[in-house]
Amino acid sequence: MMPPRQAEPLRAAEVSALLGVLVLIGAPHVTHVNTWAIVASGLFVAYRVFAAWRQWPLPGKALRLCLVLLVCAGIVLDFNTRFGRDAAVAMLLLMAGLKSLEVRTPRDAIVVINLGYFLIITSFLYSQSLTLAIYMVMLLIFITAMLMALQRRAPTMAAMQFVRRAATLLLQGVPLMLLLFLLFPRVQGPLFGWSQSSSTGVSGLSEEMSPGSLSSLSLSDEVAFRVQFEGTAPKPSTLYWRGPVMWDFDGRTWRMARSTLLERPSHLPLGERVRYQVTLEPHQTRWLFAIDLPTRIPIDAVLTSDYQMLSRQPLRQRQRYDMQSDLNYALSRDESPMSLQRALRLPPDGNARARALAQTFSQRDGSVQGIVRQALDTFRTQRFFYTLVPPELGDEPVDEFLFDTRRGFCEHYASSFVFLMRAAGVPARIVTGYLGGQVNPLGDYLIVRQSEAHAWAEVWHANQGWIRVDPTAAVSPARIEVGLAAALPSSEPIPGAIRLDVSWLRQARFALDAVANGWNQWVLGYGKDRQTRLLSRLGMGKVNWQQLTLILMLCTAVATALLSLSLLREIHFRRPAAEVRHYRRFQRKLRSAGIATRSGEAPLAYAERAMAANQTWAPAIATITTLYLEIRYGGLNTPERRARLERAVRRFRP
Amino acid sequence: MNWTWRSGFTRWVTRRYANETPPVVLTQRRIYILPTKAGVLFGSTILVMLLGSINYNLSLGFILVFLLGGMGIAAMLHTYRGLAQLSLRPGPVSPVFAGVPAHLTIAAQNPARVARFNVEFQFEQLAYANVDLVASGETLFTVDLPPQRRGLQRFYRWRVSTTYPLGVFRAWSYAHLGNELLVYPAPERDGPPPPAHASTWREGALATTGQQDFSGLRRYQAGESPRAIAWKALARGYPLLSKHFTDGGAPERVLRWQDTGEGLGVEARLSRLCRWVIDAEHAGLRFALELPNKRIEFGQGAEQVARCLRALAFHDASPTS
Repeated sequence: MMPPRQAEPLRAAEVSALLGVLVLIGAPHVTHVNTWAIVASGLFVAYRVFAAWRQWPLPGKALRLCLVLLVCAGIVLDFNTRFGRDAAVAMLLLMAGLKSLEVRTPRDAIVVINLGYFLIITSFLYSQSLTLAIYMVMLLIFITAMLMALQRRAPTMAAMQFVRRAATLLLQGVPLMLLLFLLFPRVQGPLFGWSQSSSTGVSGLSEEMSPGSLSSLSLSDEVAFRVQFEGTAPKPSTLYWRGPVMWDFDGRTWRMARSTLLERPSHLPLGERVRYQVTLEPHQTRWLFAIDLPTRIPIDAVLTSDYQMLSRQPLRQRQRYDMQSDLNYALSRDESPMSLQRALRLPPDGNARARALAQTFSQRDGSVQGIVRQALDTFRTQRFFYTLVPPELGDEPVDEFLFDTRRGFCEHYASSFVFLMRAAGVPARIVTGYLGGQVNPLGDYLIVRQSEAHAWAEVWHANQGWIRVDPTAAVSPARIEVGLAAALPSSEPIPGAIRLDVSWLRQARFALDAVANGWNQWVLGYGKDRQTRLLSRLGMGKVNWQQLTLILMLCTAVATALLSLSLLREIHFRRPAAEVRHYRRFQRKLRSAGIATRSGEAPLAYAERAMAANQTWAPAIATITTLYLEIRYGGLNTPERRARLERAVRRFRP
Repeated sequence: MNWTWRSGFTRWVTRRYANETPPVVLTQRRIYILPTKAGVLFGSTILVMLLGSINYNLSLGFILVFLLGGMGIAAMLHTYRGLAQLSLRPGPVSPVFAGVPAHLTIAAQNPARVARFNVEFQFEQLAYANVDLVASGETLFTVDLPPQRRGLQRFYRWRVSTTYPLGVFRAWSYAHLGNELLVYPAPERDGPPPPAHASTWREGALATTGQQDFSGLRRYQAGESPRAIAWKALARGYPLLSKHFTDGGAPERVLRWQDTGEGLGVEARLSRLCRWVIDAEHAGLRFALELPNKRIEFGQGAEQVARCLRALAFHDASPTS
């Protein structure tokens, strides 16, 4: 007679529960996997569930083989050569569907459960949000409960019992999980070179700037990066987050120039320096943002001569870096003539009115300061408006903006300002990036959103190098000092997030963002850098990965030992029941009187032997033995009896 | 017996416990634990997931993988705990006849304050039970057996195991419980009664046997009350007997090996004798049993039956107890 469990086919309820959990696990993929793959695997699962209840036949081997071939053909046709993450996930879903179709025995169910575990992780390739994590933990408990239910098919338990036990078991795994999460040696970058982005379609700054490109960003509520300052944060008006620098203008669009790399920052620091950490959301391009001007280059990044910080790899994952910036500086006083030449270049014709205006500036006051002041005065004194919805500009955007529409966003001001500077003979360039940020008082950090995208200008002065000039400030000082929401008239369409007039809503948003930030910092952002920092804080600053592995193994061993202690203590180090302790004390007393228990001797026999040895002990021995036997074996285990036993033993003086 | 890795290991392991006497306590030194096939699959899944997490630098992936790993280790400890410190002994068992389904009992004392689920007891390929053990107490359970052969059947070395809670690890141990089951021959059906000449009908046989004061049946004498007639015995083909409740000798019969008939095999003869013993007891006779190498003296009642059947069970076998 052999164990009958494994072969016994699954009951309809078991099949439904198992496949129900599987469907819930696969559900988040609906948003990004091809419809046909979703529908096909859904149909497979649905058929299996109906078949379980209605006793329909399951497909035979030949049909299953056909389905497998069909599915593979579908994948090949659909994805062709682009066999990457999406194709793999679609394939996995279909295979899970096909496997469910043939699930009959507990052994099949175990395969399905392992597929389920695997499907959970594939969801994280697309999103690692807190909500998804909570959802998946719930399903993890369910599917583990299924695994447990397969172990205990007869006699079975209530479903809730399994769920509770599965949750307990997972909870007992948490300490080890934390330890492994913190100490498992992290490597940077992909192992096999087929890593793909974990998010798509993120808006952000680009390599070009034309009228309208930044104002469209301003409607985006997305977080660009978060910043934690060491010490107090500087004023928002000083927080110019430097990004792409534009040199080349074709009359409408500004573009970046190829620039040389700097070995180390070469500017002259002139005073205040701030330290902070940036947690940058993935944006698919290479810029790393820092406050003007960075004094340090993060690992795996480079610095161009125009002070753009570029990561070596496009940023496909959230990245953290430590940064340090000088708020006051002198930059490139010895700029190369070639660069200066470039910073003066304009299209050969077009925008004639602007050129003429620039001529009048240089004739009136030819110094750099003079020209800058006159240009800013123009913006300040004429009726210019700061708006997110500027009118369309035609073929000569600078002229039209400066003389006709006079309504624009920062890119209009920066663009026309630099144009005027160059036309007046002052080397100038455009810097794009972000300005300011929102302090989250709950988390004590700064949130910089895409809507804070900004463009400003830099002009070159022989003594001072590149000087930042923000023409937007001339038009709308509030944008610089307070922020976008304050700078815009209330009729303008700006994201609700930025307009902060409802205070409880703002509080709620701050709270949510604080949670999201914590999640990003400590869970998603925990990588090589954080690990190194944690280790050095623990006094293990200089460990290589071999040592780390050793430490990890030691810690894991200790944690496992503690876990086993807590689970097995009761069995191995069990304190005997009260009556047993009392009786043992009685035995010890008799032993010191020369009558030791023989092995295998029952209490009654022992008592008789002891009574025979000394008649005067008889009453006490009889009382103790009777009480002990009554409590232990007679079903008369009452507190009162135990107390009497204890008294009798205490008073017994052999 | 062909030697396999597994049987070799088992023999090596169990040699140590061959002479132990119950109760057997499963201590940590004799509990083994290894992943099951499902456990290997689970482990491989985790490993692949770990590689994926490293490759994609998936923080949540790491968390999931490590959580599953931690749970696996916790499950291993739970599985081990399913057996640790169990105290096992054979339970009471009554002899059975050959050819009918039998069962053994085992008593398992669980010292822990938590119940133990799905503890499996297995004896070779013959007996299997999957039981739950109550917390802080002894659970007596039966293990069903297929029909057994005559003789003293020994169920010594048990494999006690569990895969609860997840089935990814199996903890097992060997326990020499020394269960024994006495199997009587199968009583013959529809066989002939003992030949008439084999019966010795005696009055006042007490003197000769001198050990029974039980009064039973005697040949019916004219004038006795019809109520005293042993109708049951009559129905079974015995002569007319009367029940006597006063002292005096009961009718006696010697059940002899050589009377079982020519041309029968040993087992068939034993089966027939077994039937005769049972019938004789039913008929309320005093009887003796004569086997080629053994004789059971006259006696009556359940004790005498047990003595005779035991002799039949042990025939041509050396009894060990």
